[in-house]
Parts: sequence; structure tokens; C-alpha cells
Amino acid sequence: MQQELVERARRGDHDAFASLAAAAIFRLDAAARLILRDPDQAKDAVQETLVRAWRDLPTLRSSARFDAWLHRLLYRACIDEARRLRRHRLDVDLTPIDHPAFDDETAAMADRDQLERGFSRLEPEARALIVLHHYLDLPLPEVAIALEIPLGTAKSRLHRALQVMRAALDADARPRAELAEGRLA
Amino acid sequence: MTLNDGFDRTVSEWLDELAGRGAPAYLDEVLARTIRTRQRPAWSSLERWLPVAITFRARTAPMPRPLWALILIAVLAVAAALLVLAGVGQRRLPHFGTAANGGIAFVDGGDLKVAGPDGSTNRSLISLPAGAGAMSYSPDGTRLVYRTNEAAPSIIVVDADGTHATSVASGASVAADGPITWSPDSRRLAFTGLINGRANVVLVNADGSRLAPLGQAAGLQLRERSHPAWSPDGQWISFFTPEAQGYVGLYVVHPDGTDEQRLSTSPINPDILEMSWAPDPSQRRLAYVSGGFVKMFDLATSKETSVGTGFWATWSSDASHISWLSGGTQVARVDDILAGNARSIHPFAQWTGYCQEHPELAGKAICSPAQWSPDSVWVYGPDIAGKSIVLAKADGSQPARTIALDHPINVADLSGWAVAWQPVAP
Repeated sequence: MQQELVERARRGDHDAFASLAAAAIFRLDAAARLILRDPDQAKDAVQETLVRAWRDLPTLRSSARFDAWLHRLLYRACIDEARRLRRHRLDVDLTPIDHPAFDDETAAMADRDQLERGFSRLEPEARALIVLHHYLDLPLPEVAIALEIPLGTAKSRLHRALQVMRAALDADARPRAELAEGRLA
Repeated sequence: MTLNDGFDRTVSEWLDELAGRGAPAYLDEVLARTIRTRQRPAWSSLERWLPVAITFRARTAPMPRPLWALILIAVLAVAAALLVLAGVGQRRLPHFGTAANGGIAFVDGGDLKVAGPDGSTNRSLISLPAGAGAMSYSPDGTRLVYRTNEAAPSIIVVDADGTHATSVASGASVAADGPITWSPDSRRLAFTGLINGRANVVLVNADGSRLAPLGQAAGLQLRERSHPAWSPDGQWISFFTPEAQGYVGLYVVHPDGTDEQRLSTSPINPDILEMSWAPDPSQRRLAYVSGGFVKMFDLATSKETSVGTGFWATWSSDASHISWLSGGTQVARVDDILAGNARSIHPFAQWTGYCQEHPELAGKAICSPAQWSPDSVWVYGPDIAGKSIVLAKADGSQPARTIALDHPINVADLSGWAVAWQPVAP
């Protein structure tokens, strides 16, 4: 069904493209928000992705590759958007916060905060790698193609990116454990 | 949370939670943008021609400089060879610029004939049992298009030497009526057809492929459209569409059916529907007729300028002059008209009333829109008595001269008669 829509859209059928866009826009928007951490920027990136997709669709060689191709366009649009933002805004480093008392629920929330912190410390390229693999569930070879990097590079970058997130969680978990043991009290 | 086990799953779940649910609200906004965006042709992508492995590698791993240089040299050599080959076969015209005068093609009885630029000799190209109308040369001068004069007419494209006739559209509903306009690159044609009983602009490639109503692929709203004219920059097709109180509006749309717009002209009286673009793409100017006045509309400024009373407006090939019929054929400089101090010239004998009332002007005046030679020096058309083709210098500096017709024509009905002057490279 999707391939038929892609074929029609490639031949200039805008209604077919509208169906494809409607089916894809949620996951594109979500992925872009995760990569860019800014809903307005994400919207711009998704718009750019879909406009480019429509414009360049006749050049797509295989309709079966539509999703992979769309992800590549999204990645490029996100990176362009991130670079544009870098030129206009200084990112502010988050200062480590004080750690209050912890129960299981607040500990889970704190974990999410630390994941968020670790994730935010990553470059958009690394965030894209994680989002494509862990949120969109693309296999690594597909991620490598979308990011236009060799598979080996994708593997090593993903490993490093996850290490950064894990390190953030480790670092923030350490004082919490020490607090629980009374060493910092 | 365990930090060492299942971290990948934790990240996935966290991302899923962070992404949230619900579709964003800007889909319509995106689609409004895409529908205004023209699609790239398929051939324009490297990946259509080379294996993905190569294009992918090219993006990810820079090639050594010598290899790049060799590829660049090879591409340039191929391009140069193609240019040479193209030049050997035929000298094609640029899309705009002064052309030289080639032969004059015209219908004479059952034949399509061609006379030399001086009108001195003529020869038959092909037989036309059903006559021909709406004839014109492609902008590059290599082909002719005309409509046969039959109950179920056909639109025929033929090489300039009369060979390789191709029917690109046929049937009363498809090849209905009105002018046939070439795209500036000489590859496509637009004309008025009847789609589901309603006039609509139809596009077709000059080889007969891709016959389709204007904007079909883009989902352009179906409504009546007629009298298409292709802008000289190839970016727009203009047409008329009926509006309230019996008037028509003048519209433009991209050839792919996107970005349809109504030009801000006054309502146009549909008694005489004619429209033509100034051939100079830098001018973006249209001439049309409304309420007995010839008018020009400048797309850049949306300014409407009255040329004068009359009709049958035509542009010189270099867009410097415009002609129209009022007391005979008049010619004026466009710049003078825009400046408000136009002085018109009558290159042919002056007359008023009906063509048939002036047999004494045979060979001295025309009874049709004045057509222009490719070099913009001459204006010409069928003799007011239907016995010849009359040519005169547009500046009125020489008396008219004629190309005799073996078979006289009825100037009140020129549907099966036509004349066109071939542009050739200077």
C-alpha cells in the first residue's frame, strides 16, 4: 500500500503524498523533538523534510526505500537546524542540582532527569543516532545509511553516546547512593 | 534502575515516554507548502544513475584528488562532445533573442507549402486534405504544429521539412479550439480541450506523450480554463476562466498546476478572447483585449495600460513593438505606449468596416492579426481579398509585397488556413 502511494506521489500525485505525510508526521515530529530538544525547531525540521521529500521524490530510485530515505532527509534537516541554532544561540550548561531525599518514585524521576541531562549533553548528531536506533527502532545498518556514515562508525558512535548517558546516570547516582548511606549527611 | 543491565531498553522506554503521543497540528501547513513546490525531474539525481554504493561512498569517504580530477575531466569531455554533436546536427535557437527569417509556411488548397524569406519561390511540403489552422513554428524553428480542419480534428506536429508527422492529440473533445502554444523550450504544447464537456487547458509533449489536463497531477481544481499562452520564461501558463456576471478573469499557473493566481486585471469582456505574452522573458507582460480595448498587463507591477481601441494584438518577436487592428493594422513601440506618447504606424493600407467590403485593397491590406517575422522587421497576414499573403515592413518604409495563393481563401473563416514564419539561427 505504501509503495503504491510512493509510486503515485513520485509521479506527482499530491494526494498520495498527503497520505504518506499524514502517516509519517507523528514519528518524524517526535524524532525531531528528541534530536533537537525544541518543538519549534522540530517543526521547522519536519516541514523542511517533507517539502524536500515531495520535491525530490521523483529522484527516489526504489519506492521500497521510502522510509529509509525519509529518515535520512529528517536527519539532514535536524542537523541543519541545529547548526543554524548554534549560530544564533549560546547553549547554557546546566549546573548540577542539589539532591533532595529519595524514595523509589523520586529516584525514578531523578533517573529520567539524569538521562535527560546526559542526552542533552550529546551533540545533535549523536542524539540522532540514538533516536533512530532506540526510538525509531531502525537497525544499525539503516541508521548508518540515514546518517551517511559507515556501519563501523555508527556502531562506535552509538557506543560512545550511550556511554555518555550512562556516565551521567552513574555520576548522579553516586551522590544519591552516598547520601542514602549517610556519608554526605 | 539497574545501571548496567538493560540500559538499551531503558533508553528506548525513556525516549518513548519523552516523545509523547498525538500527531502534530501542522500537517496542513506542510501540505500547503508542498503543493506549491515543484518536483525535481527524476534525471536530476545522481542516485538515479549510479549505484547507491557509489554515491553513498562518495558522500562518506572523500575521493583522492587525482580521481576527482580525472572524473571532472571526463565529464567535461563528454559535455563538450555532446555540445559539438548537437551543433553539427542543427543550429538551435536560444529561447529568446533575435532570430533570422527562415521559410514562410502556409496552407494553399490541400498543400502545406513553404516560400523563401523573400517570398520568391515556394514548394509543397505535405498534403493537407483537411486543411490546417492554428499553425506555428516551435520557438527553436525545428517543428511545426497545426490543427486539422475536420469534424474530429487532430493536432499534428511535423518536422520543419514536412517529415515525421505525429498526431499528438485527436478527437473533437481533445483538440477542440483556440490557439496552440509552445513551451519556450519547444518540448511541450498547451491548447484548449474539452474535458467532461468543459473547456480546459490540455498539455502534451511534442512527441505525443503525457497528454493530460493542466494540473492533473497537482490536483488543480477542475473548472473552465481556455486560451492558454505559455510565458517566455516557461514558468507560467496564462488562461481565461469565466467569472461572475459573464466576465472572464485572466489567470496564471505553473505548468505543473501549482500556484494558480488571478491577475488583478479589470473584469474582461469575453466577446473577444485573445491573450499573448511579450516574447521577452524579462518583461513579464501580457496583452489582451477587453471591451473593445487592447490592454497590456505588467505582472511585476500589476499595472494595466491601455494600448488603444481595437483587437488582434500581437507582439513583435523582440517584444519592442505591438500591433493591433483599428482602422487597419497599427504598430507602435511598447516603450512609447508605456510612456503615454505612442505614435502608431499603419504598415498596410488603412480601412474600416468589414474585410469583404474592400476588394480594392487586395494585396495592400490584411484581414487577420498581423504576424511578425522572426527578425521583427516584417508584419504579414492573409490579403484582405484572400488571394495572397501580404508582407510589409513594420515601420511602413516599403510598400507591401505578396506571395500569391493558388487557391483563394475565405478571410471571414480562416479555420482551415494558416501561415507561419520559421525562425532560424542568425
